[in-house]
Amino acid sequence: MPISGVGQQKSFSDLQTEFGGSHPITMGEYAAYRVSGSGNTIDMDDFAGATAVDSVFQIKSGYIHTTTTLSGRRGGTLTRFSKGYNGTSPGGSSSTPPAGAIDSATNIGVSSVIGTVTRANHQTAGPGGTASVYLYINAGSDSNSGFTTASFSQTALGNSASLNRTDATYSYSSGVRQWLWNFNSSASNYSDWNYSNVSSTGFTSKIFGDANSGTGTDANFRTTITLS
Amino acid sequence: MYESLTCTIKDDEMQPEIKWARFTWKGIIYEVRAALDSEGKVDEVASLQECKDYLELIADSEETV
Repeated sequence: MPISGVGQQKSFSDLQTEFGGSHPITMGEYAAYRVSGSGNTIDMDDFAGATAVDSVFQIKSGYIHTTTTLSGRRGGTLTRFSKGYNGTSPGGSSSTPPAGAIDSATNIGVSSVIGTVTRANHQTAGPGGTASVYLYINAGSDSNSGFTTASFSQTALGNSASLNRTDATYSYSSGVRQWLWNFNSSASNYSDWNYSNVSSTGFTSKIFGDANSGTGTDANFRTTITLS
Repeated sequence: MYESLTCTIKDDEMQPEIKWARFTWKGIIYEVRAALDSEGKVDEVASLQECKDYLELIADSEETV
């Protein structure tokens, strides 16, 4: 919760609650969190509106996997999946997966707050199994900025992958900054993100969630995302 | 379908060496990486095509199979 406004009561204890730390509190310990003022003179009103920035959050994935049997000369199977937090249908006749959960959605950023995470997921797009990774942050303003790299890890499996912001396509709608990374099956990092391939059973995300089939919500937070 | 589309070229806000082609389609603002020529300069014609190609891509991904 942001530190109270200019002229309102605020204490060192408020600073410790917001930014962490332990007793004893020393003068200057929280100086870096000031939103106004500088130097060795510290006024408590320098912290008015200050908020701790959270650059790490965890996802408990909602997921859906669907397999379509294709007929004709190119017969076979086509698997689609969508896994993560507030993912959408991976297309075809697939339903929207369960929403999943996030441990700490608000005050996300690196050196300053970008906003609240509203979506973080991995899903297939199109019949070729193109991988799409989405990160949406409700920021209230249009700016393709706020972080350089998003690092992902599947904590139970030890899988990890990173994506550069400048490799994403950015879009902005209704206050939400949206970053979308697309990579097809020939991309060098495709195997960092996917087990198997679109025409095989077991096609799923290496980064989001536990399950490799069916529909549901994971029991645990498995995906850690760190912005830097 | 995208004949009326136009885009503007802008620097990235954090890494100004990165160039974006920015456009608006159906009320949504988009930025895709600008196309560069062999000398590393922004190719505005190719960048506009990148914008159109992207809209085609997202339209294709929504098709039912």
